[in-house]
Amino acid sequence: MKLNWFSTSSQLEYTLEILPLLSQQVEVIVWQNQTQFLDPTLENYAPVRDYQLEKMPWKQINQATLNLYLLGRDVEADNQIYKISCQSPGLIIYLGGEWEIESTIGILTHNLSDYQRLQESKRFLTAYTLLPSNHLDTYIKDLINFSQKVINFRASASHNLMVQSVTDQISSWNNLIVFEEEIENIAQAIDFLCN
Amino acid sequence: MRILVVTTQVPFVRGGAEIHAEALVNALSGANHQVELIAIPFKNYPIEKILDSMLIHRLLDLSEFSVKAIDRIITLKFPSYLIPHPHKIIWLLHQYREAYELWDTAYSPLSESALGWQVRENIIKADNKAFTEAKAIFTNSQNVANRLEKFNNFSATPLYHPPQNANAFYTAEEEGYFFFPSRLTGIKRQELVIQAIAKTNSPVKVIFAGKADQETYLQELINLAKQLGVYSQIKFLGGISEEELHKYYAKSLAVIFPPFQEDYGYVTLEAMLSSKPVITCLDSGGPLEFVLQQKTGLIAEPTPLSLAAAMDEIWDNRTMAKNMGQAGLSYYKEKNITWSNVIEKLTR
Repeated sequence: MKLNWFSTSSQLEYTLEILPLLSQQVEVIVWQNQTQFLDPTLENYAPVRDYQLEKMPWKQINQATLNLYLLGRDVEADNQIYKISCQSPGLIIYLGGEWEIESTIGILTHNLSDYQRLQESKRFLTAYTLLPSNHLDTYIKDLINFSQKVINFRASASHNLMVQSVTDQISSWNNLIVFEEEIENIAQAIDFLCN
Repeated sequence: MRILVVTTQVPFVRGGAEIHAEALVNALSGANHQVELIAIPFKNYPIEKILDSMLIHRLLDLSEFSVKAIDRIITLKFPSYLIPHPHKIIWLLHQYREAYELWDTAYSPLSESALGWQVRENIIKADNKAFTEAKAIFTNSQNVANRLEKFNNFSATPLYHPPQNANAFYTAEEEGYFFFPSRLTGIKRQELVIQAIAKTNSPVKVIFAGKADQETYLQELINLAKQLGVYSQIKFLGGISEEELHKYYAKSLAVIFPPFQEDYGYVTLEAMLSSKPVITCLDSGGPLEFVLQQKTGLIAEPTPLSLAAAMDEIWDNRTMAKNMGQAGLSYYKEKNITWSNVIEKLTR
């Protein structure tokens, strides 16, 4: 497993806490915005690469198996990470803040009420784990397990892309009579391709 | 037998795959089968459209028409083999290569896309399921069979077929040039050949035939040749007629064909039919199934220096080149590359 770690300086403390142990167990690449450099000590634990929001290096990013996005309370600072997560859905580590999360595959949170709320929406895989501060080993284990689950689940997101495409087409036609049997055929075809 | 040959096509683009499909239809028809070609348009941008296209293929019902059963379908390319049919034969020209062996290379726009991973995983998953439905899987080369084994863990039998109008190729006295017929596009590596010319010790000449996928690429090649001071040693013919193609093969000293991971490569076979040696590269894929080192041609490292050394060797040893060319023709004949063999296997 190879993970991309997207964080801004507002989550630096959190990143510094986790990275030393996480990078011992899986390969991690830290991504920083070219205009907002993170702490250089991060390089002791994982390679740090730059990106520009306007010209994302997807080829390099796609070398990893999964993208992890840290979203916190500093909405202004973390908005760039949010935008990237919308373009390439992965695993959001949700540390608070008012985010309208639409495009993700999984969300990990440390807050039980957030977890329950997100789980009820049934739109993404959700997981809860304790804050890493006093439970770092457990946290790392949970994070790696959950990342694997998200990776396994990811193809279903393509399922959603196909369903979205079909429903977009159908809804763009006025007065279309939709046959249940045909919808069933489409559903079966999508299931074949994605499951 | 009522047979449908199903392929995908980008409208107004014509290449080896289109020629292959038409030749297959002719050969089946010649063997007294009732046969038609179905070419379904394929669009791969934005990349989510690939998923739409997969879905469209999966929704097609080719099992019968006018209450008459279609006895089998023969599918050739991604995503045509996703079409369900009780007797589906896959003769694989290639998969969606950007999701497989090209993923980590400069030739995969898919890997440069935000949703690349997602689409890639889906292609692989759908391919794996479609392959289990097939009654038989053939490939157009060992190279394609190897990829299928490596990435999807499916075995397939290579089934070689002759190039278009194979009987029309002939040989003639060489007129001192290397011939490189192919679409002008990055993956065929005309650029590498121009870089190699600059490293040769001999005053080699190379004639390129074929249209550019993008006009800008042709200009880039011209600029590169000028920059390296070899522009006077090259010539771009653009698209040429069949007769001209045969003539340029016949009068060449050798054929140079160093693409990156070619599926099959008619060029190699056409060179052999014209009794010409072929220079190719270690990572060129299909051509390596026919080019025997120092016997029917030369295999170089994919570097300008190594390719230049191979060009020099042929340029300086004309008798050797002639002998290699003749050995190439003999080797082609040994391989039983005939349509009758292909049809027998596909309709068994």
